[in-house]
Amino acid sequence: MPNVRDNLPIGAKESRLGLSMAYACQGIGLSLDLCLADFRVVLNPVPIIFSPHLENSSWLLASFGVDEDVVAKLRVLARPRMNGTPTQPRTRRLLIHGPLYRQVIDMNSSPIHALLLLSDSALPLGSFAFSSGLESFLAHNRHANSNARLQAFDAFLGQSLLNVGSTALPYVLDAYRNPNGLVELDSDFDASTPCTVARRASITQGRALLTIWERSLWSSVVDTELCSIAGKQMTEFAYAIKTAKPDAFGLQLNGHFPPLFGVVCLALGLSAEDAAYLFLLNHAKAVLSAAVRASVMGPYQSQTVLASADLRKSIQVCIARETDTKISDTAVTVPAMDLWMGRHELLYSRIFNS
Amino acid sequence: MSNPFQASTSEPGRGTIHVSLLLPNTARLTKASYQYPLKLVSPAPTKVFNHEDHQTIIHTVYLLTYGGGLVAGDAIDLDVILERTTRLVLLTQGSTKLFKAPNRDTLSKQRMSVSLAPGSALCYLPDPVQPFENSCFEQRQIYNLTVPTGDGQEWPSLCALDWVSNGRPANGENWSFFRYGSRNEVYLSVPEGTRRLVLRDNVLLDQNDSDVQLSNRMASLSVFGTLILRGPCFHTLGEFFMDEFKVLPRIGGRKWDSGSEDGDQEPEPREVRRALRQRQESTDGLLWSAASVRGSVVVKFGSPGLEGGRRWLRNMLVEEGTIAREFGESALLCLR
Repeated sequence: MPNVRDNLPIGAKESRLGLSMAYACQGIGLSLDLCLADFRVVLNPVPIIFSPHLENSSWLLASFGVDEDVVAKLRVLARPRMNGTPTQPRTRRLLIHGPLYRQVIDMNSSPIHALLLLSDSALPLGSFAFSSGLESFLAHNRHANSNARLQAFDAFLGQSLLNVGSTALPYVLDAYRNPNGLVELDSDFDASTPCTVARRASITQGRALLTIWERSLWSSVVDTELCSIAGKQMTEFAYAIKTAKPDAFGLQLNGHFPPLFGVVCLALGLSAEDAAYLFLLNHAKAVLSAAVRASVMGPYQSQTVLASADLRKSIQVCIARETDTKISDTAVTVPAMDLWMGRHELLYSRIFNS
Repeated sequence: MSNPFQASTSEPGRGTIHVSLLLPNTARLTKASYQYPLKLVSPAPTKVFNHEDHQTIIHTVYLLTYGGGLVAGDAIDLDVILERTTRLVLLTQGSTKLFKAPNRDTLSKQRMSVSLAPGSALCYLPDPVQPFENSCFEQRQIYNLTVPTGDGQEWPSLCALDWVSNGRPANGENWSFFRYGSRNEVYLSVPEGTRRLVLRDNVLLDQNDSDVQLSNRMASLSVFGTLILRGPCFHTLGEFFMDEFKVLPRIGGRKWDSGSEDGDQEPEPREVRRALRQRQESTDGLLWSAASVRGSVVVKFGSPGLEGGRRWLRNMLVEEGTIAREFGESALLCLR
């Protein structure tokens, strides 16, 4: 195999290449099987769907090494036709011959593999046993018909993301930035979560993540200084939680999920932005999956929400707002969520753990 | 020799409350200083006789502000120091109004820092904060509890209520402020100076946080509050909340037992009171939950009506009786 780094397109950073590939493929409608291949030869020619809706597709094409005048030609081709329906832009299927597609992409140095692993619902975290207050919310608010229920769920999902963003996301990011502070972060998160049900959910998933780490993920730490510090912290924490005794104040390690998740993301070489996005997307996925099982909506509808630009936007808004939030400034932004969540224990029948 | 014309060190909104322990084992309010717009009023101390005719001196201080609230840009900064075995009741006179701010950047602030020595106890049951339309406010309550070190020393005790209402519903206000933030932090500290956070309860409601109106985010609640209980003095009260929470009627369950009574047994008075209270809760639409977190009991409650919330809290505290017994009836004044 030739050394790929020499052939990388200009502007694509080495560590980001796999990811920008994935985004690019998504953005321009390419379907590529990106999984599990250490090396992937992208063949020439590749069909590309280019649409003027996707404002950055030209940028992406450029980063792939496609010539500017080719991009300009594509633009013209994809422009709305004047004699057809004028507002409807055309989507064209084209064959592109660019230099990039002869290149070999190194999947070893790309975080896409780890990203896919951590976003997989098969990751045995048990996240899907938790509804994050949805079940209790539905029990507290009786809705007249399924339409009203759907609307209420929509609002709930937004609020749930808002609240998780303001209470947990800063811990993910702080742990990512400073993996050595894991123990303090765990204690701090424990102090800031005064709701039995939320604590239980966080600790169960955190401990599951520790088990996955000890049994499987520890071997995939990326070989850089920072990542191996994170890996070491995880291993030490997993050991300490089994052996440590309560400290002078009678407090002990708990294993809360958000800080541990941040450190795992660092150890596996994800970027901070991806870690944050993944954390919130996983949360949305868990709530939506709970909604399907609580018969609020069907599986296709749930995928529609998951794939929607709205969800993407609200996750991005959340991340933008909380990126610089200090952990001491984390706050509950939807107080009713605490009530619903806390009262989950009072439900007569339950199918979820939270 | 000290300069008689020293520059004034007073800052607006500053205040200090110091309850000292003097000979012979008597608690004195040695300092209650304040600067405009803060005002402290301390009536004569009262005595309560609890177990074995042991008398305890209770100091009471009313936290007041000129105009009954904070105008935009006001900052209150209050330090409270409780020496060993002293007891203090903090009250307000009516809800703390937060008046409208000219813009989002004019923040009014309130900070209260309480340090509690071993064996001391604070009972802080204020009226709710009432943020008016377009107000902008943040408050922070810090409770530093000193860990007992010697023999025979008790842990400090804390009962702190923090609640907020939706404004002036009669004027059409319903969570229509710019920003409201309230943070309660409980630290344990050892005399050497290290301290450890044991509880942080931080609520932040900001109109800018999402496109959805705040009133939608607050569901149909018009009052929301947190009660923090900690320490030996409030141990039984905390247990009471936890026990009562466990026996709340199940949601979505059929009430099989609400039909005909057997009549064989007279129900216990506690059960009768509980049934009455639970009926009132469901009429008022009150929701509450209790959790035991790192040695504190944290009670959260919300209600579609302010009076419903007040009534429920008073009923709970009166029924259990610790507050009235240990601090006197007047500690519950704000819940009347």
